[in-house]
Amino acid sequence: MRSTILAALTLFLLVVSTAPSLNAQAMMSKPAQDAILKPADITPALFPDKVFFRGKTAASQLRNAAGVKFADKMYFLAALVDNSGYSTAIREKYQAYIITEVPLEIGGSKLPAGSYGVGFLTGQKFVVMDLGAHEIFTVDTKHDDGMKHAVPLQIVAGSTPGSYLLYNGRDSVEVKRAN
Amino acid sequence: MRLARTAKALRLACLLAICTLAGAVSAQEPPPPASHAAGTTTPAPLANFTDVAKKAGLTMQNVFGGLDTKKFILETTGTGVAIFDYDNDGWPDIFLVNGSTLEGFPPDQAPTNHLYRNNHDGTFTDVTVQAGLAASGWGQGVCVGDYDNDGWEDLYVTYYGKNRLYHNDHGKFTEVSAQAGVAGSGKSWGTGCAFIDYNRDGKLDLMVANYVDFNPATAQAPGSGSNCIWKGAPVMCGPRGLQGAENILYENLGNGKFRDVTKAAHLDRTNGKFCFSVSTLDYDDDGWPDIFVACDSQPSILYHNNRDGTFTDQALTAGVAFNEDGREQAGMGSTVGDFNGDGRPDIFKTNFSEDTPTLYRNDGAGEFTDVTRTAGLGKHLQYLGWGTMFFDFDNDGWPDLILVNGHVYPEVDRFHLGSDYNESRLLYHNNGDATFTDVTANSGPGITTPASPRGMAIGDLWNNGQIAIVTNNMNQTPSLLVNSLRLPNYHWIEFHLIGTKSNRDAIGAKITVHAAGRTHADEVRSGSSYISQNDLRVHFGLGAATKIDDVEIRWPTGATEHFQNISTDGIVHLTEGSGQKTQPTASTQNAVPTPPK
Repeated sequence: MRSTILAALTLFLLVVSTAPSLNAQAMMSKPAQDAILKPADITPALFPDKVFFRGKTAASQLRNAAGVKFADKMYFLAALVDNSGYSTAIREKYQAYIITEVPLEIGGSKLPAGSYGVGFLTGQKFVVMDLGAHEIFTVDTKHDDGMKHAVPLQIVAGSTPGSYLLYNGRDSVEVKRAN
Repeated sequence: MRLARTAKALRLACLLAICTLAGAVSAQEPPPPASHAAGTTTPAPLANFTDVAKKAGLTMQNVFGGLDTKKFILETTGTGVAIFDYDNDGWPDIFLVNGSTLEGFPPDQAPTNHLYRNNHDGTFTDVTVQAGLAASGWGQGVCVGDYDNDGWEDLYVTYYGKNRLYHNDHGKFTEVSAQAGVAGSGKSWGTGCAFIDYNRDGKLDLMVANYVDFNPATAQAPGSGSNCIWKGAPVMCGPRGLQGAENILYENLGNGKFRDVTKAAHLDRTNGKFCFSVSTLDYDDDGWPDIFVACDSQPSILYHNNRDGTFTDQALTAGVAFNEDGREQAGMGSTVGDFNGDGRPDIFKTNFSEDTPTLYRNDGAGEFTDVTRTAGLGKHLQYLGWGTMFFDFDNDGWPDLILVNGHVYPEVDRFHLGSDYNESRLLYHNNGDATFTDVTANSGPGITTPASPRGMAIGDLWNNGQIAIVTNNMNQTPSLLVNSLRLPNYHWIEFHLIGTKSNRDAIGAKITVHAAGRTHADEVRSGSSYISQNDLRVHFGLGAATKIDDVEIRWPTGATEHFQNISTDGIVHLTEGSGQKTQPTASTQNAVPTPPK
């Protein structure tokens, strides 16, 4: 009996004495979280100030850039581009450039890691093109009349964890990291 | 207080002379009086503007780069206009800025700016040389302010190159920019400017917008890059792809000298560039002047005055950086006025073609809403707007809008790109219910005749309550648009404020007029429109009101005074300290908080 009590006391002391360090370890190993990036976070070291698309290089607008730094430090980045040098047909579709290090699911369509030209089209559509301006897919967008002050490009958290909304003005498309 | 019944008979005679002049130029009968005859659907005209510039003696040939093509962006932006009383005779005069060409001119043949003295009879005399203002170069914008409080209006002219400050000594100007410290580096491309007493010390400071850092020696040729093609046609390059330039604020030290306080005032904390027009306003009604700057292909800037010598750009949070859809626009000109009669200053901005202009309604509490479409101002996309002003052309008590347009690329005609190089002006009548009606087609040839204006200023050139419009037209002679139609039974009032403790021009003063149950509010303002200067006197249409109940002046120092027994249909000179003093009415409710240091 005495030895049982002694063993229980020893176990209790052991638990009590190790609890703080376990807590600290738990805190230290708390999984990193995704971070939404604002224009100030996206420097030329992260996003090229000029990007290639359909035979031309055009300036990216880092003042109108956004992104997500995923928990494993992989990036999804987007920025508007100066598309004035393109023909009207391309300008209507090619408004922004995205770079993703991970596969994405955009509006339900899967997109491999890579660089793409994208655009928000009239009729509530979002188009993704490869660098040769070939259309990969088009998905629906949502319009937000209730937004207080729309900005050219931004990313905000979506309604579920790991879901994000890529906004161009008041129009948005949902972006998720693909499994 | 002195009510200027300034030679009523002379005014009447002058009005007759102007109407005669307008009729002679247009060779048209005056439009029929406003009426709504049964069975007709065309509304009666509210205005009949005709261009009387040549008859009036405004003959300056504007020179600004090439005629059929513009090799560089430097050749495209044009020049400003100032309407101001340079000789203190009580009649506004006209100053037109001039430019140059890439090839340049021999020294004695270069085009110069021009000053035209008002002859009080509908004509003007060119007094450029006598006044000491015969200067040449790539002139740009102009603003007016009595920076040394000596009672004579001084002139600041921006340049691609060194800017020039002209001190006015009894109608003779001396160029003093170097000793005053406001010439700039000579490498900048100055555009809009405005005098503003940002620190309320009674001395006018100076805000100067800059466009791009441009060097013709290294500039790309048309069509040579992605920023040099528009709708598939080779055009001049920029502004995108060019290095933007920083806006500058000069503090007036009071001894004829200024110092550059751009960094100290935190203007450099805004990544502003490609900027044009400067409009001052107290948008949060805290009694401290703020600054709106329209910028090309970039967000607009709203420098909020922190009341401690610094500014913070609040354009994004205030909702005036972008349009309703969150898009950057190519801002050119801007004007401030209370279009909906709620006592708050609203902002209107002109933009590039294939876009609409933008009307931002001031909702109070430091916030604006883009109401362009609901106000009826989003119907035209083909016009590339420059100068613009709120002004009550029919004196019905509601500020209307004038926009002057003209495309930046001469190539739009050759390649048929959907716009015209010479474009119609646009006149919008304020319906008094927060909407406007486009009355362009029915307002006379002065509005509908296509031209290529840039700078524009308005003023009561003949002290008769009818506001005239002067435009500086690209590579053309100027326009002087006079409205020969005066609607019966509508009244007006104008204020010439004289500061004593405040800056003598009272720039930044807020005037609130109470009449017939309405409240009319505006400010004395330097700059505005497109890199131009309007008559510093503040005009209000009063509609059918024949009696003014009260006039409240909040002087730039913050002191508030009331004036009564003021008659309508005249120009009133009010001197600071002569009214009935009251507690300041600066609203703390709407004030935008100052950020922590």
